Amino acid sequence: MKTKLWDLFITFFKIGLFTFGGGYAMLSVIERETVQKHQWLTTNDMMSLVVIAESTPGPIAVNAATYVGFKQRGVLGAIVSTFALVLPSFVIISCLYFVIDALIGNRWFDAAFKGISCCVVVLVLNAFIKLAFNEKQDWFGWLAMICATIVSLFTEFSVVLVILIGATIGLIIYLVRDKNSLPLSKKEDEQ
Amino acid sequence: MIFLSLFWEFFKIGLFTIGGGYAMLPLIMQVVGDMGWMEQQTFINFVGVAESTPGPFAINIATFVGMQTGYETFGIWGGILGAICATLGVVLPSLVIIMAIFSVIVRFENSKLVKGFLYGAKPCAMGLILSAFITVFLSAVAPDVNLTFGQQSSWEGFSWISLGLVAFFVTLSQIKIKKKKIHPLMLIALSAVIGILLFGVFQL
Repeated sequence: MKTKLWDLFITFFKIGLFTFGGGYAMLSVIERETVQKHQWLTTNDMMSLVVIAESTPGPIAVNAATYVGFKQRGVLGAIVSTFALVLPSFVIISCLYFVIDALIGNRWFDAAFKGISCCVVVLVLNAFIKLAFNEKQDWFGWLAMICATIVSLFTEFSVVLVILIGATIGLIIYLVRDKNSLPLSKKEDEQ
Repeated sequence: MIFLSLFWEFFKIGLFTIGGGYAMLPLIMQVVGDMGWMEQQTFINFVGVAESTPGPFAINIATFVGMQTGYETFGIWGGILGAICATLGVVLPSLVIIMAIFSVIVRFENSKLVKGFLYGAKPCAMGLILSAFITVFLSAVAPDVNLTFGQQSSWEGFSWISLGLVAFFVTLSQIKIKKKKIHPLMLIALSAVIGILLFGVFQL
């Protein structure tokens, strides 16, 4: 059955309206809505989405909205999803613009945000657990993951380079294994 | 023309920054300064607000800069038009690039090159999420800690209450009601209320 444009609109409007803390916290909400609720994506699709969203230009949440919209309903779906994601921010910021001086350093506003930022931590953690333990990873997967974590935590190395270097090494290992026809690649060919 | 240059500058920012809103921040700051759109202090103040309002960080910033720039010369409608131009500019590159990449990936999904590429790229992407988790965890619990090599860092701002709150939400997020975990959006709403109570009313 064709996904309704209205469903895409409502879903991403909700995501845009209620998610704080940037793209990584949104992943948790996007997973819940698109994988579990609507089944527009599988968890494996979701992982590809994260790879693409992280290694291409632009805000991660916008990339994700475009990806899901385009997958379900083509160009129109991509435009509707992205528009819906951006709309709440746009309206909220335009309104806040006139009261911004009152908000800066406001006690209640800061208190609410302090609570939210503790919750955002948990959302990012859950997104990580859900995605990282979805498939069985081999030794290379774990090693690459740990290296990428350390490099991006302790250095200012560019995110794209981390992914590109990892992808290149992965590709070489994959092709070498494929040539020697080790069990891993055989199994995937049969599927 | 101010609206065209808003669109164009944010289009370039959307096109050239990879890794989400925070990666865009230094670039936007530079552009805003170079174009004389607003005082640096106004911008820095707003960054704090953009972090604590809903929606993608980059969109919030683009809307604000557009609004401020248009409003100063053309009033309210100018502000709204400016916000539209800046937001459209920052979103457009993603829209086009993602659609192009998705088309390629779908067509070559079973090719060894794409499979091998994802075989290496996926764990790195997971690593980046893990590092994002550690970063947001530290900024919530001990905001003065900076892990980047060679930067100043201290544990002075460490808060047991924030750590307890994180632990509380970890537990809450695992609880199942009618076989379903609590929706993440519910958790966010709840966390705002708890934040107001703990840090606002009781001033912990």
